[in-house]
Amino acid sequence: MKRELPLVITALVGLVMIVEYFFEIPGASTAAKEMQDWAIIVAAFALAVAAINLALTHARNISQKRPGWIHSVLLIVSLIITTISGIFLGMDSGAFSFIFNNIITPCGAAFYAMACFHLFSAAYRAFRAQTPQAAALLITGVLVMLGRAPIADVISPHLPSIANWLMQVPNLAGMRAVTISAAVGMIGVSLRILVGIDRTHLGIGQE
Amino acid sequence: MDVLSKLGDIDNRILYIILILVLLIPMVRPIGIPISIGPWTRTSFAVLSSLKSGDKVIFDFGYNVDGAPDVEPIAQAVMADLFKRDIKIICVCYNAQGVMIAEKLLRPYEEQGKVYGVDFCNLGYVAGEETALAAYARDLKKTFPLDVRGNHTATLPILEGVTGAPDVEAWVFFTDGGAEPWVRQVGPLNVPVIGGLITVSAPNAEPFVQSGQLAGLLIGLRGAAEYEILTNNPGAAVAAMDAQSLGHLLLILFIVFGNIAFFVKRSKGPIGSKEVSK
Amino acid sequence: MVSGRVSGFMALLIIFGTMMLGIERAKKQLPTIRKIAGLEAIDEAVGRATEMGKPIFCTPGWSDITTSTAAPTFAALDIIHHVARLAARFDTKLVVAIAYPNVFPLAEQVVRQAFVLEGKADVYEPGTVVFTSPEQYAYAAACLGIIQREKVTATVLVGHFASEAINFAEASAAVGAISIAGTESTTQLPFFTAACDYTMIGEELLAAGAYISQDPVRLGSINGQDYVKLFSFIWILIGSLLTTIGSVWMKDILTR
Repeated sequence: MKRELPLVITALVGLVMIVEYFFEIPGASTAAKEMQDWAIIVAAFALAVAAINLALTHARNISQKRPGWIHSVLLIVSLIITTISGIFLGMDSGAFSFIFNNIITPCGAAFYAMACFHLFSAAYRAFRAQTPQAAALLITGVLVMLGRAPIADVISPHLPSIANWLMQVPNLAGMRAVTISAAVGMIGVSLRILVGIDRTHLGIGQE
Repeated sequence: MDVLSKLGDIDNRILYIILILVLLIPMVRPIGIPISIGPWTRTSFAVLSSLKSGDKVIFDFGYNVDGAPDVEPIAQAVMADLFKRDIKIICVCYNAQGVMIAEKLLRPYEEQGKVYGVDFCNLGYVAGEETALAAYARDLKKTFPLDVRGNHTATLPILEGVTGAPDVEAWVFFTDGGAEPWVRQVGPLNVPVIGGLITVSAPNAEPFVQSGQLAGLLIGLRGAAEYEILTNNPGAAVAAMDAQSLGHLLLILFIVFGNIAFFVKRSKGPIGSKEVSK
Repeated sequence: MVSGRVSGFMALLIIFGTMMLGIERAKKQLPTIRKIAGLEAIDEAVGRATEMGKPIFCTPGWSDITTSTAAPTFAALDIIHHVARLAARFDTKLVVAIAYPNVFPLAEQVVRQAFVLEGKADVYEPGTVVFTSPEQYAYAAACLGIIQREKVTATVLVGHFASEAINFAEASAAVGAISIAGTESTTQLPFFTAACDYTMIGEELLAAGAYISQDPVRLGSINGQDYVKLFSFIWILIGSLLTTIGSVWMKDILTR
């Protein structure tokens, strides 16, 4: 029963959602909406479980004075302050706004900017014309990079057109092919999960 | 020859320092590289510039603070243009962070005299992503009975006569993800839909403009700069374009260095195990 | 039926039907799937980690199981289960970082089950699966921190990723780790392809579970999907020709 019940629930819920999406059956929309609400509630509880795990992991780091335990102290203090200010003072309170505007936003933006540096070093390290395919990748990459920057018009008026053509014809064709095959694959994975063929995620994996 | 082969082994820290300098210097001392206007920005501008004073536009904030550097300048440029022409903006939020982002962008205009509830409003966020979008695209007041400031949405003057997407003159969304949810849920509702996207998501969204499912696209910081130029309001996005151009050139230069080193080393002997082709 | 969704329903029936046909055929003769380099490299990666006594880092990406990117997350959990089994077998330390709370209990179950199947239930440590944050860059920062502090020798980056993909790939390269990546996200594939040692593209990730298990039923369903792709190719060809000559028949069919 422990093995079968999750599979039955998965199949039933999946069937309701599919029926609701494709057919206008009275009651199906209500049932689907109800299940979506349940999913949101379950997600909220899962967040609580995960947050407790996070706190316990870092509490363990602190109690055992593992290397970097001071960062765990910082994390737990931040977690408590942000939770209290958000729940008890409200999202429009001065404290929460300060945390959001002056800590979360700049940290997120800084990390996003880090991608630029990582991209730079990755391109420097990896874009070598070792094979004809790698050379083709290198040349098209350079043309697109140049063509998309404002300086392209200064270098040559044809560069933006070349870059646009590369992006909108061969690149888009390749991306569409990957997207279509990935979409078929995703439907396949989803159907296999719904009918119980794929069960690894339930801990009923291969023996 | 030794120097040439060492061109491929420059320490990452030196690369990063050079990159920082190349990006910072033109922001402090702009060069003024001319910026051409792309077709997607022109299309978006054509739609938005046809709006008249008093028209209503929905701004849908669907990006997180992490993606803000690339897409927020678009929101700022379009918001500045629309408010300048007394076009009313109804803000909704596709994700939770959108609420605070919208409030942050709207606050300066409120301080300049725009009236909440008349010139603009912020309806907030409801959980559910695309499911929620499907709901509020069809009925804003039912999905958002209260706005973020606790007002009943049925009583807001700006929402008079507005039930859903067909009752506004344009829907502009800003996202650091894909455009597909808006294409699916808002596109069929007989309203021009314009997307503000990060640069990396643009290739996936361009077919939607070609097919007419989207009325226009504003792509990344470059899209924001182009819009600022079209609206005669150059700002932070235009200022960053010189840095973008020089950054691209620097990257190409170092790729060339790396390849020179590679070919010099190859001409000397067998390739090492780290340089196996992908 | 809901207007505008008839063709979608037909497509779903066709995919389901061909999958079932594929499964029936597979019961008689096991289909073959070509080698997927990324999956073959997992053994090498675990072996290297065992020799060097350093951990392996895995993550199923930045995605929940309630969104349209749930399928890659489930596929990633399949791969992580396989990695966990090898790690348990060879007593190699494993760290799995999770972004979304919904995925956390599944990942814990998947990894714990792997240890149980290898007879190493008592060796499993509660800190093996780590919840980080659903905030994109908080998750990225946590993963980068783990990779750099633990000096991992292998990273398995499979699932749905956004712009943090390049950060993970470069962090792996910086510590000299073998990086095995796989994603269906076309915006991140170029970064992984350029920066990682092995990359599984699109459907290669989604077929991983079948490939690893060599289960006839799962292999048969993958085989059936290939016929769907062939059918899609023919459909696209016909559609392109018809649209070129000005016919809207295909468009009408697909928008019904």
